[in-house]
Amino acid sequence: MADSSVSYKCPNCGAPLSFLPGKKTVTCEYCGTEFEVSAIEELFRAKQEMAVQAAEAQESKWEIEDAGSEWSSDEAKALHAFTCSSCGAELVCDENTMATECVYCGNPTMIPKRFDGMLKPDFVIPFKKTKQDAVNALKEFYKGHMLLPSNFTANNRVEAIQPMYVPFWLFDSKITAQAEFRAEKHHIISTSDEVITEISVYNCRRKGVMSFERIPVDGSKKMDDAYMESIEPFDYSDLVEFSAAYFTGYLADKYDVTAETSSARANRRVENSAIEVLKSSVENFDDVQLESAAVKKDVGKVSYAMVPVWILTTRYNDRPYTFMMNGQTGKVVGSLPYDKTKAFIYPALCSLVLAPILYFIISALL
Amino acid sequence: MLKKFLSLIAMILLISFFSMASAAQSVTDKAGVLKGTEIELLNQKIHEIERAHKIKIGVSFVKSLDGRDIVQASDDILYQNFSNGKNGGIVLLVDMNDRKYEMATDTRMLEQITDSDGIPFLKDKFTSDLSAGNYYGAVNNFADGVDELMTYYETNGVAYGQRMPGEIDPMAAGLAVIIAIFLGVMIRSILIGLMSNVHHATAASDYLKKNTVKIFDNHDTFLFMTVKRRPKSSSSRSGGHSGGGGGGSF
Repeated sequence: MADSSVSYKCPNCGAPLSFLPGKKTVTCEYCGTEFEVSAIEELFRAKQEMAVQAAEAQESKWEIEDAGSEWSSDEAKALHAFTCSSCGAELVCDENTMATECVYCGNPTMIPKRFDGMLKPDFVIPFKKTKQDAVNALKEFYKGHMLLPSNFTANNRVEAIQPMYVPFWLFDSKITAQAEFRAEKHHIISTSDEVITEISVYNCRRKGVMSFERIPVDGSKKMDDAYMESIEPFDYSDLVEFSAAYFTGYLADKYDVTAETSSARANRRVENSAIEVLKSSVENFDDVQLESAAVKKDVGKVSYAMVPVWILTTRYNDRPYTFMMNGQTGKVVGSLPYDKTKAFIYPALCSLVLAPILYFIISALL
Repeated sequence: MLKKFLSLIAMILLISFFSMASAAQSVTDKAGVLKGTEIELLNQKIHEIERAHKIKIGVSFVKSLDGRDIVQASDDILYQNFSNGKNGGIVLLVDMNDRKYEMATDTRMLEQITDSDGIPFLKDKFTSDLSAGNYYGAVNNFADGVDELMTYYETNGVAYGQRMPGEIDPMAAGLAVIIAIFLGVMIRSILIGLMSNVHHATAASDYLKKNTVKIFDNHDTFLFMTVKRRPKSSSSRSGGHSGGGGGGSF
């Protein structure tokens, strides 16, 4: 049976290949041989084509009734089995997985069927931050949080942090925006017995054009939108044409949220920024309030890119806590648990210290 | 030589006499509401109080102020004639035409007879007598009131109505506790908020190509003007002095 997946193994020694962050080449960590990305692509193209055919063949045999009885039909549809070309193990993953790692032999594994047609990304931002960078950044992130439970860091298996390429839609748009603002000029006159404030009210109309480049919106349902927006921004100077070779050694998902669905989030952000730009042009006023606005998209272009993210999900008191690091810039985001006892004691101590100080201030003022 | 010496002695005695005569005029009655004997008795009483507390007390009845502000007029009398007491001075001015009265205290006296508690205490002492036409009784009670307030200050070290040193002000304590609890809750919210840096992005300004921004319609139209007036709060009396006082009608 043909393999339904392709393992990126070194043509020289047979060891797993890895794309090392910050390098332009694919490197074998075992024999030290370096390969150009294009060379690796060429080398594995034929294998990928075969793997596609094998996957299609397997898929045609995939029947819901073949799944175990504990799975629902929906769950069974979402599952796919692939054969590891290195050790022959059957790998099970969901319908969006593009690259993964064999849990038995650790070989980086591609699932080329996921790269087909519309699913193939236009660009990729390669990983720049290593696992050690991610571990160090996460440990640093934990510091300075007064309410962090003392035993949280001891049991949160920082070393299990995983690298993943997350699918993103990049929206380019040229827009025409117009808005009306109510603006006020305040003129204060002070006489011996009263303060007179003259408020002149104006209607300010602004209309203009502007362009936004590559507003990122994640195309993965599994990824929390707030987390994905928090790890922004990305430095697009590192954006390169997509090649599956960059996926070696990393997990990767394909999009499961369409560009059309994602566009609503991009539109909202564009509108807010366009209005802010127009508002900033209403100058020499003391107060400016938006009255109405309209934003029309003149040109809209979408591209599909994979961006690098380090992800760790750990559990504390039976609740999951997820941390992510931008694999390009190193920005860490996450929500930490807090110790309820500390959350009571620290503010209470502050109140106890502040109360007498406030008493003396208030006594002096009364 | 002897003549010169005698002349100098005579001059000193003359100055002392006029000073004593001037000091004797604590009570002046230009409205004719007090008898001569009453004025004499009141002067004697006030001088004793002045000596006992090292203060100056002035009482003045006038027929009319001819449109002058009573606060300004009382301040003028105080600072012209009664502000040289070691422990301060106080003046009571009564305008019989408008049936108004005003008390003025200098800065030192304000520490001992406060506007918030001392002046109302004095008002309670003599206002009913003024209303009843018992002007001698009113001045007598005013002087007694000043005596009592000064004695209170000398005994307790604080003005009448003020807290003793070390005594807790319940209102300030209550306010301090409420504000401290509020700040504690705020600090707790901030500390909990710091545990997460995950938030939705609301704008796309990081991705705006700044050189593409072109604003081609830019119109500001004046609509209308509103005027707001706010009276200034004044901590000093109309005369601009830093002393205190208070008055009313009878």
